[in-house]
Amino acid sequence: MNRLSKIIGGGFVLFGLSWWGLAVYPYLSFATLKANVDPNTKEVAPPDIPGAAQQGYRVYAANGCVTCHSQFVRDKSEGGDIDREWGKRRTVARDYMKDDQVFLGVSRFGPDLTNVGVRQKDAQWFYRYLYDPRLFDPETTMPSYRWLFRDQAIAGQPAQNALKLEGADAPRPGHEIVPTAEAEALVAYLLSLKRDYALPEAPVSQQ
Amino acid sequence: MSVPNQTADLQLNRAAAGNGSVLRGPILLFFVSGLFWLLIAVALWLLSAFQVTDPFSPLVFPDVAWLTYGRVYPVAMDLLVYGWASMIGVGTAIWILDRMAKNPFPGGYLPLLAGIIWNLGLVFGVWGVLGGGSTGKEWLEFPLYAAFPIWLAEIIMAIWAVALVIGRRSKGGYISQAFLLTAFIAFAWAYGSANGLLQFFKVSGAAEPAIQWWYFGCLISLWLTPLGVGIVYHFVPLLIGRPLYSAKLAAISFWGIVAFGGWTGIAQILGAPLPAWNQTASVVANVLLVIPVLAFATNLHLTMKGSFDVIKPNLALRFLVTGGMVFGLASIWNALTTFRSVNRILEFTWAVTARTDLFLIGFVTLICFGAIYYTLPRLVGRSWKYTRLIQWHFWFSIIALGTLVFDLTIAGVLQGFGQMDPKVPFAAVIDIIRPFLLGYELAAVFIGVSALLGLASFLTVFVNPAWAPDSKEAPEPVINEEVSLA
Amino acid sequence: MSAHEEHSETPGIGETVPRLREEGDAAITDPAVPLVGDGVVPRWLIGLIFFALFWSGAYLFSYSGGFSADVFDYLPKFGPLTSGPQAAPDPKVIGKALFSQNCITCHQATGQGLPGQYPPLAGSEIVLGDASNRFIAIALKGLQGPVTVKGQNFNNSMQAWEGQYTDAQLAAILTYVRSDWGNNAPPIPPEAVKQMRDELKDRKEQWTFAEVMKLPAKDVAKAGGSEQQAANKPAPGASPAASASPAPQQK
Repeated sequence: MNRLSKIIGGGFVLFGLSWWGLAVYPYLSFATLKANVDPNTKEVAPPDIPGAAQQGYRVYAANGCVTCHSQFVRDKSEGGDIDREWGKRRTVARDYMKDDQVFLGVSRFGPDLTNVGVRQKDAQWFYRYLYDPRLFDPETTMPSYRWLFRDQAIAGQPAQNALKLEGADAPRPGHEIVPTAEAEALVAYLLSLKRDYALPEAPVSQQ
Repeated sequence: MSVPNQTADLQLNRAAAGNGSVLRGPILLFFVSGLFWLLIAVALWLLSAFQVTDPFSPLVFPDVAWLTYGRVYPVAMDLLVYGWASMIGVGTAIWILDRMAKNPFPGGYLPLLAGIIWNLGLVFGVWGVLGGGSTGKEWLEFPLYAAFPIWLAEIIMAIWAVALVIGRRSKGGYISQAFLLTAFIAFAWAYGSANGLLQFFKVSGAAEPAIQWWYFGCLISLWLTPLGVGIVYHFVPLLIGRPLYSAKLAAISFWGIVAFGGWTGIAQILGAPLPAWNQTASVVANVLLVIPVLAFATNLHLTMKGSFDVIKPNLALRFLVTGGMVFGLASIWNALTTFRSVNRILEFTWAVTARTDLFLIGFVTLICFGAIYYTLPRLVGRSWKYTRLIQWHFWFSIIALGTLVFDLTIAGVLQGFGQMDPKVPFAAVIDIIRPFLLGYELAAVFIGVSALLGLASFLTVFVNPAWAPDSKEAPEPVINEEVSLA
Repeated sequence: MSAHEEHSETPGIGETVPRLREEGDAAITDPAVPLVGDGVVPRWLIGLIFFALFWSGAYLFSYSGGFSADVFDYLPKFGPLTSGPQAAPDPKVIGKALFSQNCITCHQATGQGLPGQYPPLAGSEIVLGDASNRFIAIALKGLQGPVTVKGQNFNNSMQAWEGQYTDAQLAAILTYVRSDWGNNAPPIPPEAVKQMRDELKDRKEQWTFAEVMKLPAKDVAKAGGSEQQAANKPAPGASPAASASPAPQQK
């Protein structure tokens, strides 16, 4: 009995240390983070996340985007991310304080998405990429997410966000391909991924 | 009184009608479901391997949401861990703890209940993730309605294990009891608190990845590791009929794993937006974890010393010892690649996948099969029918593991150097690894074959006539002709 | 009766089989329970343990950012952070932030304006031309009525911004406008805005397009309006040249 309680008790203490250090401590210290307000411009960093984008977390999670795409930029001392221009600076805890869901990811089989909204501002581009990635790179390793789109008959005016597709992808005559609500949420989320503002703890390095 | 021998062992089990009959059902339930989930996992993995190699192959269904790579691959990995490895580990742990404790009331209905709930949780999990309910957190994809039953089953198992050991009749203890108890308690805590914080209390912001990857460290180092190490510590001395070399080394391995294991996870995301000291502590833990692993490996080696020729004919031992050796290798490789100078190159590459696969497909899977090969004949009172099949299984497992890890590590290193050089465009970095994905496909096929071989040998036990109690042969698979050669 | 004797009698393995521990003796009678020996821990392992612990301590204390929750880089950042000369904030960054507060409503985030109403800033000859005095004048006083930019006609109204922004802020906005969406023209220094503000301090109403085009063309962006710089005029729509803004060439 004595040895048993020693093992269980000791195990609890040692294990609890790691629990406190790696799970509870970051939670407690990040809970007090506040957005930074630039004294010159009154710009709030990180900016609020648009409502449409907040629907996108679920779609991003459900489809395992994180399996191939990461969402953090490492400091120069940790890797070549800044040289590769995944971002102008490393990401810090404050960048994610307004995110409902955080998908850091451990694989870059696809590009890093920390700042994808900086690189691409056009929703139509994302729609077309998700619909058929081969439009942009015939050798791509990204699969097509056609089921995020709907083929519908054009009723009167063509839909505003109908995909501009040609060739093999072109819809049947009188039909159009439009994004579903899921695709719209996902793209709104991707467009919101911009961590290009400066923060005191992570200044944009100036060359 | 002679050294432990299998004949007496088997007789004892068959004679101990109470314990044997009560726990035989639950253990078999865990074994059968483990193998079932292994098959599903491997099938999905194979599908995902073909999908990732060529996103426009006929195996990719762009109109079928639930068959996309981003859902299939996580399910395969989750099933490998929570279905296959955990189920077999729990089944074997039930066996070991019961034999050690000799508790007159082994409470067989608790493991049975846990096994049923656990399976339900896995069904919900597969359904949920494929159906679009994934949380998007690696290794924690199962939504709450799947994670909760699994957690409940873990709690039941932890309670059962502690109650069993507290009420034990045997006077002595053994190191595998400590490992298995720790595994049950730590996993219930880690899985519950990670899912609770992330899904129930909905922690948001940068604390999410901290919790998530802390949990990953626990999953690897405080669940699968102690299960595997506990199993090896238990069966290897029995199989060679010699005592474990050193209690002190065993204690070092135990306390080392308990102390450092929980800290290891964050090193998977070095450079993440987490406090520097968390990340440094995790690097240090990964390095320090080599101490208990070396203590374990030394203990195993010195126990085996002089008996290494038994590895060849005794296939259960061969699986277990090879698994133990792969564990040592995986830990050292893990420590070497955790250093920031190496990690800056390898992070985000396939080499990281290879590192995890070496652990899961090498260490854990080999140990699981070794445990099955040891326990199953004693459990059902029949010996293995086709030892040749098991031999094939062993070699296919090794080939699969070698192909997978070697291929992905080379791919990852090249990918790493590619992504370090900003002059190489991202698409060109991916082009570097493209040929290696064919090797990945091949490895997935090998894994599929070895899983099928394992299943075949499992099933053929049941067509064998009952094992004669007075037989001189050991119940575990032993190649007879080679014994005579040795 | 003890397994201890049995083991030591076994020939050939006597050396490697250690003495059995006493606690384990109860288990000896059960062959299904493994036995534990009392083997010694090898010296090399003890040495390694001490070395690893020492190294770990050193590593942990060197690269943990003082165990602070808001230090994310494991390497200490050398050089003073608060004292000493700080890098001046990039006017383009400030400009962009200010632009997105007001200007964006009419001229849009893309700098394309709205057809028929608000002229584009991207590729606009007013924005990019050498007559930067007109550009600044419009920003200071606003504009009213029909406008022609890039051959297109627009008609709406722009308010005066002189009361809203300081010289530095206005300069930052104009510098940003000259640098985004393919624009690539030299920055507008705050002094130029101040100069124009002083020159036009008597004008109270918004410009008409005809009026503002009558202002004598003068590149106030260049110190002293030197003519030789005119050759550097970038073509509208040139690709954005990263953030490499030409350093003001004095003399």
